Amino acid sequence: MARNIAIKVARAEKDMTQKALAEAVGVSRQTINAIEQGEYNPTIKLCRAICRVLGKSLDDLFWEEECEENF
Amino acid sequence: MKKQKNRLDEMQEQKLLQIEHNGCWLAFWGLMVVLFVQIFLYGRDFERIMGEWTVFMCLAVYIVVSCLKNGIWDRRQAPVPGVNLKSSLLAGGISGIIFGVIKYREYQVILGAAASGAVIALLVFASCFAGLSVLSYFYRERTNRLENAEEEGKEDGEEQN
Repeated sequence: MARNIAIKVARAEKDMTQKALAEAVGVSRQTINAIEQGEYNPTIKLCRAICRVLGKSLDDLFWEEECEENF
Repeated sequence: MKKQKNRLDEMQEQKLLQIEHNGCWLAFWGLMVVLFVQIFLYGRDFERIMGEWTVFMCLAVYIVVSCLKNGIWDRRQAPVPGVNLKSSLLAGGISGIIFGVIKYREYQVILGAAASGAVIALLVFASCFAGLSVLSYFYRERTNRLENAEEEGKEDGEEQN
C-alpha cells in the first residue's frame, strides 16, 4: 500500500500534528501514523471522520490515481 | 453489570484480533502436539489426558460450528470430494506411519507394525473422509440458505423503495 501524502499535506495546511488529528477523530496517534505510512487501510467511517476534520473530500485524501487504471 | 467502553480504536482492535487469532491456533496445534506426545510416546491412559483432550475438542468443535454457521469453509481449499479425498489420505498416511513406527519400537516386528499402521491409516482415512463429506454437505446447505436470505432481503429493500 502506498504512503498517503495527501493526509500529511492537508494536516500541514491546518497546522495539525498527528496527535491533534488523532484526538479530533478519536483514534490513537499510531493509527494516524500507520494510515500516512500506508500500513493500515482505514474503514470508511474513519476516512469520513478524517475528511471532516481536515475539510477535504474522500477523493482528495484517499483516491489513488493508479486505481483508476485497474478498473 | 454495565459493559465497559472499548478503549481501542479500529486499528488496535484489528491488531488485537490478529493476536487472538495467532493465540488460538498456537493453543490448537500446541494441544494437538501435547496429546500426540502423551498418547503415542508415553502411552498415557485417556484419564490422564482428559483435560487437554476436552479443551482441544471444545476448541475444534467451536471453530467448525462457527465457520459452518457463517458459511465459511477454508481460505484456499474448496469443499469438493477431490480435496476431501487428498486431505483424508494425508491424515490417514501420517497417522498410519506414526502408529506403525510406534508399534515397531514396541514389538520389533516389521510386518505386524506395517499391518497395524495400515489398519490405523485406513480407519483415519475413512473417518476423515466421511466427516469431511458430511461437513461439506452442511456447508453447502448453509451457504445456499445464507445466499438466498441475502437476496430476499435485497428484494424487500427494493420493493420498499
